[in-house]
Parts: sequence; structure tokens; C-alpha cells
Amino acid sequence: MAITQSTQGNCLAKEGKYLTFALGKEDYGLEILKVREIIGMMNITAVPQVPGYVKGVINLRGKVIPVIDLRLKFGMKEIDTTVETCIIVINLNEVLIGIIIDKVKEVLDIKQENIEPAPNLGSGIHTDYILGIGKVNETVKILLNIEKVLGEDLTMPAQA
Amino acid sequence: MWKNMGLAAKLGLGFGLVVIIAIALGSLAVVKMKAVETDSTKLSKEYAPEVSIVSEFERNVSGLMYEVRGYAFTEDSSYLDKATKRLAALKEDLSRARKLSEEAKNLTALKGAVENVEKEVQAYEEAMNKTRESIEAVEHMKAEMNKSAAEFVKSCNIYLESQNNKFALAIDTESDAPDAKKAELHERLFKVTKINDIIDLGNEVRITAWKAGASRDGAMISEGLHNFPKMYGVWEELIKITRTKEDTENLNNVKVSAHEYEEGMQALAADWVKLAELGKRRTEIGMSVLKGAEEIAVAGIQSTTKIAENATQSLSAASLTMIIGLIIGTILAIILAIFITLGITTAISRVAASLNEGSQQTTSAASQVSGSAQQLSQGATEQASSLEETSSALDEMASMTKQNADNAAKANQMATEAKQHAEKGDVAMKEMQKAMIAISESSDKVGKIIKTIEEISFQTNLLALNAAVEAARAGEHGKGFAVVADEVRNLAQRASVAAKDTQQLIEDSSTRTKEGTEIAKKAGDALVQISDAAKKVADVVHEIAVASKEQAEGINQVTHAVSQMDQVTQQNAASAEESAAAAEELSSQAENLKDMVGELQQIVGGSSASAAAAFKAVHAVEKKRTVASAAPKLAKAEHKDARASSKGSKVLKPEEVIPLDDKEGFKDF
Repeated sequence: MAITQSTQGNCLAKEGKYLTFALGKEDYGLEILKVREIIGMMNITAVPQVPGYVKGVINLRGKVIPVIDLRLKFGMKEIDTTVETCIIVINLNEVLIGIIIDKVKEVLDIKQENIEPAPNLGSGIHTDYILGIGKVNETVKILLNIEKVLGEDLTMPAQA
Repeated sequence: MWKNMGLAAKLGLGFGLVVIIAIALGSLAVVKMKAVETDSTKLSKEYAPEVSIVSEFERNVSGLMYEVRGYAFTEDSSYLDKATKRLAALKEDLSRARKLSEEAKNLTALKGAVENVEKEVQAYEEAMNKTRESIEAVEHMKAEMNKSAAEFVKSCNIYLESQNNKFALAIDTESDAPDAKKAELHERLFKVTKINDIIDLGNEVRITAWKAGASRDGAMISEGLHNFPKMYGVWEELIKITRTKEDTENLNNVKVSAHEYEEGMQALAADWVKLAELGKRRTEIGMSVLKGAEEIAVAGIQSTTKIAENATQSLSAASLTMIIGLIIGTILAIILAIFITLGITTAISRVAASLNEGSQQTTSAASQVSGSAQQLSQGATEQASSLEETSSALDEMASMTKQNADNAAKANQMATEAKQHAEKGDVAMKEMQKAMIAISESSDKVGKIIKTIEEISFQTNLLALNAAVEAARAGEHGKGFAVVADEVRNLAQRASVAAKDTQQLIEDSSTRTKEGTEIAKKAGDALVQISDAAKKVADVVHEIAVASKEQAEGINQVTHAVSQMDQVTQQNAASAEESAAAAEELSSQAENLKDMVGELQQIVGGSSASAAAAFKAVHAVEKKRTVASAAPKLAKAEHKDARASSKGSKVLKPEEVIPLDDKEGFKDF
């Protein structure tokens, strides 16, 4: 809860390094300090009685961590895994969680002036899981507030 | 009907009638003559030989009888030889007669007669043999008698001489002897006298025997025989007084000889009687034989006479028939001759007139023929030159055909080569397909390697990113590391890009290889088709070559035919010239014909005046007929005839010169 609050307090994204990845046609960015490591696709052991976007769990060097398909989380169409499909292991307050993304792009150093707040798309649409929009060489990277994205799920291990 | 008949028919009828009459007369004569010939043959082959044989037989029989009689009387063996010869001749005659009787059909009387006569002749021969035996016996007897007589005489003489000697001795020595001696002397004288008596008696007997032999009188011998008892009486007296042994023997000898002689004389007498009887019998048989022969001869002569009379009759009948036939035939022949002569003369006069006209037309036609023949000659010459051109053209054609054939052969070779090349190409294509497949396989392998490289680059990228994440976490200390990680990531990225490019390139090459394989397959198919096509081309070209060869042969044949045609045309030209000359000849011959027609009319008419008249008359008739449009037809007909004859004789048909039965030859062509 403390983290959520602190994140909400720094509504705008800070300048710094972001790990960019592709999901569908869009590129997304993650604060690099939230990333534990990047691994290639591996066998996922399905877990019963979980939401559809929770694919299951993996054994990462002795640690069992849950894996979420971000496409399903974002309401996008599920696709088959490719050679480029990766799992990014995210560390949220020492809680590890894996997200399946289409393709890992690069580590970008985005300056403050190239970061804009999330656009206001109307009252009905929640944009609080977006930290901001990073502009890089005529393209835009959606900088995700991963804690918000995984908010509900993060509670689960905590509760468990 | 007579007028309507043709000349040949008239002549034939006339001569036929004459010939028929001649044949009828001739056959009649032949039939009669044949009958006479048959009779004559009979006469010459049967009756004449019969008569001749019989007369010869008769002669032989007479001769035989004569000879045998002579033999019987004289006992000379030369007569017997002659008689044997006669008998042989007789037998030969008989065998001839038998043969004749067997061969001849008409001599039935001869057959029986021959058999009878043969028997009689045999009987005669037997009688003759007996006669001979008897005569031989007589001869023998006579010899015996002579011997006996000689013995008798000898013994008598010895006795006589001995008595004489003794007597003389007695007389000489004892002239003055006593009476006893004188008595002895008387006795001796008596003995001499008695022996002399015996000798005389013997001589008488012998004389009697000789007489009888000469006169053939058996009675005389009997008379002779009367002397023997006298002789025996004397002998008895003598033997009583004979005392000397020698004299007794002599006397015995005398008696024995006398006995033998007596017996001989008796036998001789018997033989003579027998001989006389045999002679009688012989004569009878001979006469009967002679009579039979005479009968046959008479019969033969009668038949001969009869046949001769028949022949004379037949001949006279035949000559009569012939004379009548000749008279009738002559009259018929004269009538026919008159008719035929009249018919022929009229017809020939008419024909002569037509001929005259015809010859004029022939003259004009001949000139026409001459003109057309010259044209024909010219045409033939032109034809010959065109034929020569044709021939040279054909030669060119032949050479071209040959070239064609050669080219076709070359094309054939080339097509075969093309086929071989196509097959090689096909093989190469297949090898290429294999190579392509190999390329494709290696591309796949390269693709796998590229994939591995890609994976490695991906992993490297991930590692670099992780390194970057670690570096970021390290904060200020990790800045250098972050740079390195970034570089590593860049390298991984480049490796990935390069791998992707390579992947792309390999995929391209793979697809191109696939396309290439497809194309190679198509090319292979095309090459196979090319090969097939080349084969077909080769076949077709081969056919062309064969056809060209045959064509060349055909052209050769045509050339040959054309050269023959050329010869024929030249012959034609020559014949046309000849026919032109012949036409002129024909024209002059027509003139001659005219003259000859005049002569013919003279011959037919007999004299010039009558000929002219006849000619005019006939001409007038002809003119009338010309008006009746008969003449043109005649002229045309003659024209046609002339042409036909010229065609038939001079112009050779092309079929005869060129054998146009080349249909078979050209069939192949």
C-alpha cells in the first residue's frame, strides 16, 4: 500500500532508464529498477482456479514465481509464443512476478523533457496505470505503472 | 439370185459343181476299179498261183512216174535220184499249195484236194520205196546168182581140166595099155562128156535167166528152172563114178552152186512178180494223183475265167458310166463357164470404172497426204527438240532429287545428332535437378545454423539487457558496465540482423532453387520432347530420303522413257518423210492405176472399141450413182482404207516401240 501511495504521489514519470518492450503494435516502457531480469520463454505450469491472464507458475532457479500474460491483462488477443516471446521478471518490493510480452526491445535513457503525462481520455477511462508517454525519435513509448497494472495480483501473494 | 451372188460364190458354185461331178465320176470309177482290183488280186494272189502250182505239180507227178517207171525197168539208180528230186519238188509244191489254201479265202476246193493228194502222194512214196527195195533185192539176188554161176563154172572147169589132164596122161603114158586101162579111159571120157553136159545145162540156165531178166518174164525163169533136175541127174551119174577126193569136192561145189543159183532164180522170179504188181499199183496211184491235180487245175482255170469275165463286165459298165458322166459334166461345166464369165466380166467392168474414178481421187488424196506428212515431219522434229529439252530438264531434276536425297540424309544425321544432344541435355538436366536438390538441402542446413545463430544472438541480447538492468541497479558504479552491456547488445542485435538477412537470403536462394528445379524439370521435359521430336524428324527425314531415292529412280525411268520417246519421235519424223515420199509414189501409182484400169477394161471388153463403149456405159451408170450420192461414200471408204492400210503397214504404234506397261514401275513411284 505504501508503494502505491508513493507511486501515486509521483504521478509523473521520472527521467531515467526504461526497459522497452513490444506488445502488439505498441512499445511500452518499464522502470529499469523494477526489473529483476529477463528470461526467454520457458515451460509454465498451469495453476488452477486463477484468472485467465494468469498463465501459471515457473521455477526460476529454485524460486516459484507466478506468470501473467500481459496481452490478456490488457484485453488484447492472445497469440502463440514466438522465439522472441520473453518473460520479464519484475521485482515489486521483493515480490517477484513474471509478465509475458511479445518482444524485448532495449534499455532507453529517457530525459525529462521527453516525458509527457498520460493523456486525459475522458472520465470513464482509467489511465492511472500509465506513468507517462516517452517520446523517442518520433515514436512513443507508453511508460507503464506496473504496480498499478499488477495491483490486484500483487495483493494475492501478499495475502497468501 | 444369181445376180445377187458374189464373185467368189459364183466361182465357188461353178467350180464346186464341176468338182462334185468329177468326184462323183471318179468315185464311181474308183468303186468299179476297186471291185475289179479285188477280183484281180484274187486272181493273181489265189487262182493264178493255184493253177501254176497245180500245173507244176502235175508236171512233177508225170516226171516222177516216168522216172520211177524208168528205174523199175532199167534198175538204173540215176533214175531213182531224179525220181527223189521230183518227189521233193512235188512235196514242195504240196506245201506251197497247203500254204496257199490256208492263206486264200476262196480256194475251198483246194484245201480238201490238197489233203487227198497228200495222202496219195504218201502212198505213192511208199510204193516207190517198196519198188526200190524190191529192185535192190533183185540186184542182190542177181549178184548172188552171178557168184553162184561163177563158182559153178569154176568148179566145172576145174573138174573138166583135171579129167582132161588125167585123160591126156593116160593117153600119153599108156597108149599100149590093157583093156582095163582102156575102160578107165572110156570112163574118163564119159566123165568129161557128162561135166560138159552139166556146163551146157548151167549155161542154158544162165542164158534163160538173162533172157528173162531182159524181158522181165517170170515164166521164162520157170522154164529155166526145168533144166536143174536134168543137171542133178547128170551130176548123180558123175558122182557115182568119181573117186578122187578132189574131184568129189569139186562136184559137190558144182552142186551147191547150182542149188544156190536155182534158189536165186526162184527168188528173182518172185521179186519180178512183186515188182510188176508194184508198178501197176504205182501207176494207179499216180493216175489218181494226176486226176486230182487236173481237177483242181480245171477248177482254178474255171474260176479264173469267171473272174476275168466279171472284171470285163465291171470295166465295161464303168466305162459306160464314165462316158455318160463326162458328157453331163462337160455340158454343165460349159453352162457354168458361160454364166460365170458373164458375171465376172460385168462385175469387173463396173469395178474398173469405179477404180478409174477412185484412182483420180487417190491422186488428190495422195497430195493431201503428202502435205500432211510434211507437216507431221515438221511437228515430229519440233517434238524431238522439246523432248531433248525435257530430257535435260529431267536430268537437272534428277540431280536435284539426288541432292535432295543427300541433304535429307544429312538432315537425318543432324536430327539424330540433335536427338543425341537432347538426350545428353536431358541427362544434364536431371543431374542439375539433383544438384539443385542438394543445394536446397544445404540451404536448409544453413537455415538451421542461422537459426542457431539467431537464438544465440537472442540469448546474447537477453544477457546484454539483463546486464544493462544489473548495471542500472548498480547505479553510478554500473555506468561503464552499462556501456559494455549496450555494446554487447548492439553486437547481438547486429548478429541477429545479419542472421535474419542471411536467413532471408537463404530463403530466397531456397525458393529460387525450387523454381530452378521446376524449370529444370520443365527443361528436362522439353528436352525429352525435343528428343522425341528429333526422332520423329529423323524418321520423317529418312522417309524423305527414301522418297527422294525412289523419286530419283522414277526420274531415271522417266528419262529412259523420254529418250525412247525421243527415238520414237525421230523415227516418226523419218516415217513422216517416208510417208511423204510414199504419198508421191502413191500419186504416181494412181496414174499407173488409171492406165491399168484402161487395160483392164480392154481385157474385159475384148477390143478397144467395145472397151470404150463398156467403159462409157459403166461410167454413165456410175455417174448416175454419183448423183445418187453413192460416190462420196465410196471415196471416203477408199480414203479410209488407204489410211488404214498405211497405218497398218508403215506407222509404228508407240505401244510397240515403248513398252507402256510401266504402270507397275510407276506405281511404286
